[in-house]
Amino acid sequence: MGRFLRSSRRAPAQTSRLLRLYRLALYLYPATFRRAFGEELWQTARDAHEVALAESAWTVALLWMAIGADLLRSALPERINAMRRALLLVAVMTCISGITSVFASLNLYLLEDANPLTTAAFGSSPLLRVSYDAAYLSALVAGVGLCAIVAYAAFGAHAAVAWVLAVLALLVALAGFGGLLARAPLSFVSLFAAFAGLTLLSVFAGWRVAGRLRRSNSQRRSAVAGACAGAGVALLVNALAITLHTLALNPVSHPLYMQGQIPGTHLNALLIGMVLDLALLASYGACLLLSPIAGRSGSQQRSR
Amino acid sequence: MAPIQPDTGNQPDPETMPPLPPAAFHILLTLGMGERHGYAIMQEVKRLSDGRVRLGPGTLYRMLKGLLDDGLIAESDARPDPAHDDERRRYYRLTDLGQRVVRAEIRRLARLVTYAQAMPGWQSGQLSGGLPASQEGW
Repeated sequence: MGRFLRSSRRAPAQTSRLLRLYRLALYLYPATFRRAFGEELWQTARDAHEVALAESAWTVALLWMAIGADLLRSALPERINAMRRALLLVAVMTCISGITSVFASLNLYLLEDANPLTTAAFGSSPLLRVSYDAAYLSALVAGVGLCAIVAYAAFGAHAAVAWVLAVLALLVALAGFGGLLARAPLSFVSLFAAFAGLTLLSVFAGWRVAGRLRRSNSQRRSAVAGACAGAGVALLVNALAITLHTLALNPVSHPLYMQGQIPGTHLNALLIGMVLDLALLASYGACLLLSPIAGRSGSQQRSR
Repeated sequence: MAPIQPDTGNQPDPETMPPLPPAAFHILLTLGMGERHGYAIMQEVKRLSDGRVRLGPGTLYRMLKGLLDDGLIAESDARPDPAHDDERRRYYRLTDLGQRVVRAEIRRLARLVTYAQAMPGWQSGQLSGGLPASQEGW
């Protein structure tokens, strides 16, 4: 073993360069891991390098290719594992974005539903009608998703919670557009089908995410993350619908706004909702990098 | 080398911890032979597995971190003689729990091998000629 220390004391220039580069590359690991094992990682790489150097340049090249691949293979999962708090960030972002989106969509509904110009505007642009309905329905689904996040965080992943959420979704649908059942049954059926479709899509997304996370996380944690993903799907649809609706409405020139029938949209909840939904998109992007979705540490693998 | 001391406190049941990932099992087996530092573990694992299990530094220390967290290994208090080795090196040793988990894993693997060898067509004498005809599609 003394051989390695003696070798390192007379390390040639190329050795220093490669090892210096490796020391820099160790910053790919999270700080806690680097503080605990960084010096040892470097020492181990140095030992391997010294032995390879005694054989041939080809052996050195092969060694560093293997070390580079190993670095990438191990640094990303370790960084992901170190950022488990990202789940909290995503849950909070989902809740903030969800509350704002629900508020924005209901605001949209209150502004436009009873307005006499709405029918004419919707008649002239089917996109307005579709985006309006999509924003409203996705806000309802997102609302159920937010309830799911809170319920799973409070009570854990129990089947009873899922049943209560299913009943809640039905009640939300009936309260949201159940009045159409008597006045316009066909509209009710189409809206209910869209609501059910989006709900099932959200449930599927949540189920997939929770299932993936369950391998290396607690049931409660997986369920909360799954609920975040489900609510996130609805919120992304909501963001898309609100954005489309706002663009189609064109608040500067559209008669609905030009005639002063509806208060100006500058800085109203609609726009705030859009911004926060976009922030949600960014947080989900961050989630892909930071959340425990892909990471399984050695101990977690072992303790399956 | 410092003798391995039995650990105290509430410990998980070693029988429930297997199956171990191959790399973790090799590391534990290596440390069962004595205290070692990271590079020595890498070399010994490679030798023990006839080169089939090769651990890079990152993978090795991720595994060591997990084994430390689970109490299967511990950092050794003993430090090498500075005249013969880098005194900054950390040496690892198998804990009492780690020993019991390794034994449990060995028993599990032995049972599996016994079971496999008792199956028709899988006796050790017949394995050298390749897979049984019924398994050739694997």
